[in-house]
Amino acid sequence: MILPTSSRHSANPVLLVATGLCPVLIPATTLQSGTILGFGVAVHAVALALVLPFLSRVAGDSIRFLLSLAVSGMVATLYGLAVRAVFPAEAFGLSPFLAFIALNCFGISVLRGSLRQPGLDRFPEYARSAGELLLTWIIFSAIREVLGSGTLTLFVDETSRIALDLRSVLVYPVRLALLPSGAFLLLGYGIALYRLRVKRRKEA
Amino acid sequence: MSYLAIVFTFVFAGNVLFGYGAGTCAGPAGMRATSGRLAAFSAMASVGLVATVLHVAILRYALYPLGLEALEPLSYVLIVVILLYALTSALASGVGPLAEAGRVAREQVLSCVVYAAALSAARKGFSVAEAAAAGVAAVAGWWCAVVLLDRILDRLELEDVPPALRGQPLRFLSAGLMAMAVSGVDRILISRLAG
Repeated sequence: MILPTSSRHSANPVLLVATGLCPVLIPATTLQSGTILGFGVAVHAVALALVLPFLSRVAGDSIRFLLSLAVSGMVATLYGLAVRAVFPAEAFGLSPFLAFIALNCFGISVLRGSLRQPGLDRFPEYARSAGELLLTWIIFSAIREVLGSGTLTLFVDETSRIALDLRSVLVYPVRLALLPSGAFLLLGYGIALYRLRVKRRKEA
Repeated sequence: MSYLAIVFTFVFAGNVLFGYGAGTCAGPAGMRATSGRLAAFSAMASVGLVATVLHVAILRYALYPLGLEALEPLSYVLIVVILLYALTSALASGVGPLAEAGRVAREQVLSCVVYAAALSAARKGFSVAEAAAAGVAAVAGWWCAVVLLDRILDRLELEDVPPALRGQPLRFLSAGLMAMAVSGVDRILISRLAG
């Protein structure tokens, strides 16, 4: 597997999101759910990049990888519990997808990379990738919500909801954008638009 | 739910590629390499079967009765993944065709396709036998989708497609269109057709 921090991925944040994160990306139909899931993946990766180099020093070769997986599962579980505590309603809908954080490809790549190279040398690189990823994720989920429902949910819990209503501008929302198929189409066009932008910049 | 309905649901509307986006992480090269090998499919189906059955059994008989469903990711990683990883590693350390099968299966233990199959089966309240059918059907559905996507992309390479759309964008666009096409074939439709 290509590490997410390789030049191929860093050059294309849409591909960075698409590559390895679809299971956690598809359910991101609102800005809030996208932020929760994206933040989860970023926190998971950063936590692994911080903890695993130390684990590598103390654990033997035979159990190092299995211990790292246990740490990965623990981080995902703790994050899931935190989301349940803060956003119980959102966590109910996202629960199957929050579980995916434990084995998402970005996290697994960070896990393998951290085990291969003990020490925190690569931590800034992983943290930067996680930040880029979160930003792209937020933008992607915001686009999906605006296109699909004509609103932009900034915050919602059981008692209050803060949202921008754009239905006066976007009279006919494209409901397809909220479906998994819509997410695939948006990803495809997103990558193509990004390529065009890069090509035009190079030509200029 | 009849076993036929379970299989149709997981191959079509509940396809882990179209529903969860699982397995897109392999990228075109990885997917093509995987889709060409029957051994890899057998290994993946076996791992999917065992992982789904174990995960559903743990949830059904341990976590749900104790109200500990929040520990689902941890239980999957600690029990299912580690057990399967140890088992496949033991197989891989041998010699002969069994060792090769072990090596191929070990690659699939961390696959999000297998994880998606286990998670989606666990959410449907299946019995252990139904979960086994769901696990294999989910992997088979993913496999069919990947092979079909590869064929579509091979065909599209002969067409005059804009360069910006070639490769990954076309894969996603094709997956989106296929997801729309199969989304109607679900449990209710099969129940009405097959009774």
